[in-house]
Amino acid sequence: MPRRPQLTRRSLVLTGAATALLVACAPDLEQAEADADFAGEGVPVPTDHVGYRDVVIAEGMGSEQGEGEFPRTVQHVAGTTEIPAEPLRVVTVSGGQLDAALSLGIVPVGSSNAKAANTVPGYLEPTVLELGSAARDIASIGQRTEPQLEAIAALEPDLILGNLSGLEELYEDLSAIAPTVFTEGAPDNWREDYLLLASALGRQEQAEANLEELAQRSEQIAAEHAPDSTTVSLIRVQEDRIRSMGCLATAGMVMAEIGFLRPATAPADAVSEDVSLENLDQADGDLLIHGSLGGSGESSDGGGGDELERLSAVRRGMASAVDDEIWFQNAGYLASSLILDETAEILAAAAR
Amino acid sequence: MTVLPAPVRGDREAAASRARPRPRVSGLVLGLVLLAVVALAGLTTGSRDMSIPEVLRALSGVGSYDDLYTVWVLRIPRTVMALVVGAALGISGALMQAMTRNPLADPGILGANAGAAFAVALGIALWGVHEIGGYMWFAFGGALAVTALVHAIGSAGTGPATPLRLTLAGVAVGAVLSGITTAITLRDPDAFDRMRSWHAGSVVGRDLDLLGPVLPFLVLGVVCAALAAGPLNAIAMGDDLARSLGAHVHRTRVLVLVAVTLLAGGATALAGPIGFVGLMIPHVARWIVGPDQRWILVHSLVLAPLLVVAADVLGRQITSGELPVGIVTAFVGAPVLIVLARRRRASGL
Repeated sequence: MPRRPQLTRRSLVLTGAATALLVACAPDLEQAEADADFAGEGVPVPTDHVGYRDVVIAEGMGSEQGEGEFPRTVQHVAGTTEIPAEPLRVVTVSGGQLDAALSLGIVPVGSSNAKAANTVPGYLEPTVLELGSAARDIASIGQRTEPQLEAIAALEPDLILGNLSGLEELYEDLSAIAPTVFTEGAPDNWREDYLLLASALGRQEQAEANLEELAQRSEQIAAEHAPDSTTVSLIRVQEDRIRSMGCLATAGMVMAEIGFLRPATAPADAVSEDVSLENLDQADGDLLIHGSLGGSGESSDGGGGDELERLSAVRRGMASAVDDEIWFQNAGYLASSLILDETAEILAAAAR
Repeated sequence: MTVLPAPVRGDREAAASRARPRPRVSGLVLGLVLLAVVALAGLTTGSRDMSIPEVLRALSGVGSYDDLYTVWVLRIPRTVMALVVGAALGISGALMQAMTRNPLADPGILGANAGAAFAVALGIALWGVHEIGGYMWFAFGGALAVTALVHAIGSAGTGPATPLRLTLAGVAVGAVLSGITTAITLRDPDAFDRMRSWHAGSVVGRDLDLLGPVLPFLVLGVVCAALAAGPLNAIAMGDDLARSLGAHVHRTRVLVLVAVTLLAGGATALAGPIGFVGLMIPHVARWIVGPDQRWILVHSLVLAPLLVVAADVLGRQITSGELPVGIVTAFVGAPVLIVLARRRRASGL
């Protein structure tokens, strides 16, 4: 037998023994957690992020014609567009625009899909049915970032809606197919974009009424609960990252409108910030609302791992798994409206 | 069995070897000390703001819940995982290079990585697996099955499986499987997202419990490696000469293949594919100890965990988030490999 390899085997046995020792020595965390409670301090959302009511279309944009009046001229972020008659065949290219069109009672003839998502997200299907259509009536025009121009042209649209984020270079091509109106497209800008898009459809007042309704329902929830002493943490678990959703995420805006405090990890000026596993306790809150990519919210952990279990909100039973699609993947009036509904339910359950 | 003399390759090198005593023992001791230092760094560094006394208190079981959690549930498991994965990769890399007598051989050549990735992609796409514990079984099973397939293809036809035929079979099977894996992940965006993070290679978020089922295979792999180490010295001089020296060429090859399969498969199961470690560490070891396979294996066993733990520690510091260890080893490994390749005399086989 060679002499040296014994050293190898010995060190391996040592490794095994050390591992066993480590497992045996681990302190009892169950005991340590008994006195743990949410000890952090919530941060109020900056006031300039609040207010569905105060939203206005950027100066010089929109249309001078009244509600439902056609032909109309719309000034938008990529130029000025004439829309000769009330659009009946609308194509929505960018994210959130299907939500917006449906919320104004218009079923587009074509729409794009986000990566790994259906053309019509599940949460919009009931609205499509209410409007007397079916999800399959909305043709797919390909992925949001690479819309298929031929598919759009084949639908013979009379209005195309898009936004600047990722599509800027396509504006000329789309305009050649049909009158095209572009919005800004930043996720935190959805309310302004909503009004501009509604203005192109001749339904701006309806959109303003929708935002007003969101504001009123938020006030109602705020009156029934004590948002200024409640910290709400929104967490999104993805395969290899945990994101603390910030004040500019759609759900973050809903929380801001109600007036909740947010944990220190929730960025005030961004959609989200990654939180490392080691610092996850800083994303704790009185209430925890979490979704996970690919999780429907129906399973107890939303499909995510057990990383969140160390948060006091989970141990106190103040954590709710929600549908990631509604809460964290989409922006718009219908998504916000559903988020408000679910928030009211979560708060009611928490109060019991 | 008699202890074989170091293979002789040219007078100049032999002369150099005589002129400079190899720092075998002192190098090993230094390596162990460094390993202890980086392992300690593995416990004391991280995104959480904890002083060293706080870490030490948490190690003795005293501290706030979150401090205890950070040290015991996050830092210790990932450091232990990095140690084990590194050791397995280092040994399997050294064995592969010795057996194939190819300085660019890597444990992945026999198909372990491609097989593991293929099985994980299947698991995600067909069975909706989404937990690290689940990936582990698919990865391990895939690595073992595909390495066995490569052996079968490599030894089909007349004559025994030569390293060259095995390498060709491994590369071919690996290419086919990678193609299928890519096709699966492109058709299934969910699988794509999950595979992307698995593919980076990481030791984060793995409970020590996962180690239990894999450790016996790794132990068996190391035992096989230990048995093969001596005869490998003879094989390094060529099959015919090895036979004339009394080495069992075929038996040694089988031992090496079993060891590489178990070690590379186990490491990939635990951490995903981590590149460069199995390729680079044996070169460093050879550079320190010379051509004796037994010493190369022992040094690889110390140096490879050193690299993986250090890469894991480094990955926590570089960005505000964390860089997976597989990406850091690639960043660290590539330049070191280039430097070593330029000192060909020192690290060539």
